[in-house]
Amino acid sequence: MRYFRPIPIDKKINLSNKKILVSKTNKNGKIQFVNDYFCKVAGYEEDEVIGMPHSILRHPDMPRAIFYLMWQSILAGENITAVVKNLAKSGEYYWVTTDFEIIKNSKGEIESYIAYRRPASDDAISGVEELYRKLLKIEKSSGMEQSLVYLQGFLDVKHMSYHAFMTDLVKPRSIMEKLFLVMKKTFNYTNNVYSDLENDRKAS
Amino acid sequence: MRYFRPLPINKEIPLNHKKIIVSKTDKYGKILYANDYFFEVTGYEESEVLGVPHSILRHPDMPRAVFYLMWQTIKKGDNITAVVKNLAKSGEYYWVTTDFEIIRDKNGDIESYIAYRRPASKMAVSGVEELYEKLLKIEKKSGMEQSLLYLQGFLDVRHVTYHELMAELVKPRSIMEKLFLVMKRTFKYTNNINSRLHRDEKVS
Repeated sequence: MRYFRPIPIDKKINLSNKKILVSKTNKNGKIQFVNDYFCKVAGYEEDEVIGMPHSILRHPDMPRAIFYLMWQSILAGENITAVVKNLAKSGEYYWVTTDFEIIKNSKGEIESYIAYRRPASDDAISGVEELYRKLLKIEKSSGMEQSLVYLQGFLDVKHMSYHAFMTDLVKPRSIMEKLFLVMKKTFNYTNNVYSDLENDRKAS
Repeated sequence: MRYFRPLPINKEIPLNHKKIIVSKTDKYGKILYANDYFFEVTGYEESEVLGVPHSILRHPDMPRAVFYLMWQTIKKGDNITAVVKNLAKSGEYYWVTTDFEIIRDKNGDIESYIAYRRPASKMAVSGVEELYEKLLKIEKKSGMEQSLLYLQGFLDVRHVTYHELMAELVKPRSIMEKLFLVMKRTFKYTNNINSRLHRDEKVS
């Protein structure tokens, strides 16, 4: 059965920092449950979206490589924090960071996923927007295999795994923390950022 | 034999908090006995309901999923507390919470059920009304399989079982308890605020 996605319009939906979009899908991505805020943001009623694949929310600006990596992760039973641009029923878009809860059955097999989607920070968005543009361009001319290769190269040059890169982008940051992180990367510190800040606060 | 249910009218029958509606059915739900208050509230005569399936009291606003779960539970011999909207002969409605007693024969097989129905509190009704509306909508569009999945998702994202949710909703509450619950729900998505506040107090 084919599902049609809305035509995108260049208008951003601003998300509330105090709310979370929650959805539950079966192991194949078919939506089983969505919370009220999800419906409010995406513009769909429960009965419109339940039973549909979550991919109806995929924005055409998103490279497939990201979803490929996302699925690879959650199918292995691991959470992944990804920065994603989604498409609402109106055609408007919204940026979120993902957080997955893997639900297994009594045999230990994956049964379903609960996804918590929070608003993506401006830092997170700017951290991926250009990368996604490049990946999408490569996908359109050479396919997803090439965009995955490009992404791997991008990460190798940074000496980071995809998970590390994403986690880094998505972490909430105050100005002091941001400064500290820059210093940490420059001097290659290994201590936990937050405990160092705490120590500094207690010392001063 | 077909039974016709009255057409619902949007009028609530307020129940007496000191009385209980009692009915006994066979294992298939056919009414064998009912107390005086049952007849007073429903408006039926004995001859009209004895031998008739209890489902004639089902209100069309009730999702089938709830009765499915109810039956699944009592057929296993377990009691279930459910919040149910029933339909009187007049078309008026009344909200109750259920309480089942399972009666078995000499062989240990289920023979009949005695149901005690008490007035549902405003908290219990408001706790389920919106959920039932959604379940019903989903049922009408996609069937009970989907509404059961939605209900499961609703419970999973709250990390509670159906029984726990019902027990919570139906518990009698003092005003202080009610206030506490509202505050608890407000702080639900953050980590336990009380323990964090205490920790900060000790440090400073």
